[in-house]
Amino acid sequence: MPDTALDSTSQSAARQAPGPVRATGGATIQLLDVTKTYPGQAGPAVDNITLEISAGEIVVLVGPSGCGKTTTMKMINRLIEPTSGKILIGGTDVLRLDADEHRRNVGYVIQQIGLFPHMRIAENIGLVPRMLGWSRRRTAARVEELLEVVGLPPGEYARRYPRELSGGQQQRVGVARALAADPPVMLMDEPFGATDPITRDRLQNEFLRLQGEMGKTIVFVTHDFDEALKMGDRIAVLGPRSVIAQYDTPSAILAAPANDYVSSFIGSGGQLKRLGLMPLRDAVLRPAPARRDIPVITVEATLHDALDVMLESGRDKVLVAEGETGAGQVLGAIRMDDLMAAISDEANDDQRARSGSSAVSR
Amino acid sequence: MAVRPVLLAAVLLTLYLWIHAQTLDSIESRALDPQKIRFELWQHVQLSLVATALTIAIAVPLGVLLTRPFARWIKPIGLGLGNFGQAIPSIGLIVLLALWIGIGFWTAVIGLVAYATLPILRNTIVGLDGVDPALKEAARGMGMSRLAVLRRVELPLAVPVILAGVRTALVLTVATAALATFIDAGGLGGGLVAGIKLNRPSLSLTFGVLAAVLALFADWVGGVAEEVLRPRGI
Repeated sequence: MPDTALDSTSQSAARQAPGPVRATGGATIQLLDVTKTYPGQAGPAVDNITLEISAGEIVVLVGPSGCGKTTTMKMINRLIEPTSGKILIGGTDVLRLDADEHRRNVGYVIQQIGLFPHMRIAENIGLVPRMLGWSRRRTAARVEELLEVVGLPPGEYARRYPRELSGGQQQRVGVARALAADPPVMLMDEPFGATDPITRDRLQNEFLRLQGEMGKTIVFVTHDFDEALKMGDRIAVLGPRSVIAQYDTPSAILAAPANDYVSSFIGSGGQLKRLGLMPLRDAVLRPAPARRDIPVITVEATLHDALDVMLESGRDKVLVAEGETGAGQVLGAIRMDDLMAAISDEANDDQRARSGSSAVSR
Repeated sequence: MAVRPVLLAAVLLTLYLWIHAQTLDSIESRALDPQKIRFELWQHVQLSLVATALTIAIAVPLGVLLTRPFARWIKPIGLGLGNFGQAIPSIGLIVLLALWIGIGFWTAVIGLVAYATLPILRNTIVGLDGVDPALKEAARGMGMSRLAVLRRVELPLAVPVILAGVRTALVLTVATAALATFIDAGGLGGGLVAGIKLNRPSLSLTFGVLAAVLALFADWVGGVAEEVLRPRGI
């Protein structure tokens, strides 16, 4: 999975990088009967959660505030020590490791970003590699590579201080810092929560593209179900005390919510949201009709976008074409009843469809 | 920034010219002997610097200690002691100390330290408590030890607030060191008191102005230090 889609930025980094700075893939995370009880509180904050996260997947923990999702995540890097239970990463029991050293090998991104204001951008990113004993040169090369990867030219940004960057740029640095030592596992606590909707959307897309190249194992916490749908390979919907209400792929949860609690979390428009998860790229298209007065949509869009175009134009079909604006070669057409069929079909072979579409194509 | 030393120099020059224009009697000319003034000024500076250095050495580590999670419960006690030291009238504190441990330089230093501890202690605590918890969490989350978080994140970010406390303490100390003369520890207070006792206003004025100029100069040095030592980026 890693390195198949080198873009221009990581190629230029590869040119400069001495040493093994390419991304290594993820590791499996297992939580086994993990419980956290705070002294002086009646019930546990996290009650006996068991969860297996496959290597290279983004798993989103989603639930209302106070449900214990953040506590659950923080037990993985032991910012919070579990009261009982086991946590394995790549088969290793992390509760037996030195906590500080363990944390150096787990990327950590928080909503407040937490860049150190008195350190330059390069210093912020280089902290963990330096703690791990990397040489100055290797660290500097890695910092440069990462700044390229997150789209901040090192020449311009490496020597700046965090306050000289916009919020979105700071969060990119936050992600770069978490990736610095190339950890197999990353924990992200509402990482894009504090940014405006447009920046958030862009950061999400960039991160998914990056993850498509890296294949890290990522635990992502949010209270925003739409963000969970977008980011997650799998979603764990958590109830009070971090009890798992449903753990499945986004489309499976939308197609068949396990109970009323999950349904209430999905809210209205669940079927429309499912259409939003289906890329036109994966849809079976009809031959394009000869008439060309039909609206055109890019193949990069989703069935949801196709429906939107149909509703807007008052037509029951759209043409699907290559190119970001749909200006390229016409690939075929899709009709309203295809959308309906897709919804009812997808429920049946959900698993296959999901595993066939990588993170990138979303 | 650069205006202050120029102004202070102008004040000193004015004082010098005014004294020269007076006809001095034998008491005055003995007290205003340049060599004697230089010696007392040096004593005063010595008292202030030693006391401030000791105060920093005591109050900053104490402030660090009192902000650690395991010591939260003694924080009110520490701050209470600092308040106590500052609330006692300074002259009373110094005289009481002299009765207890005898007169001299080090007694004066102890009194000055007790008097100036509070501002540095309080500012160290306020500065460390003011560090954004998210930064501490990010630091811990990326694998820094508690000591590394203190050294690399908390202390650098608290430096401006701590320095403001040091500056306050320095000025307090320079001003209060004039009382050292009462327990035979020298300084500029001697001439000031002599002027009052012997009814020679020129002496009180001279030594009063010298002490004030020294305090204002110390404040200026503190301001420069704050400017220079403030971490860049914040």
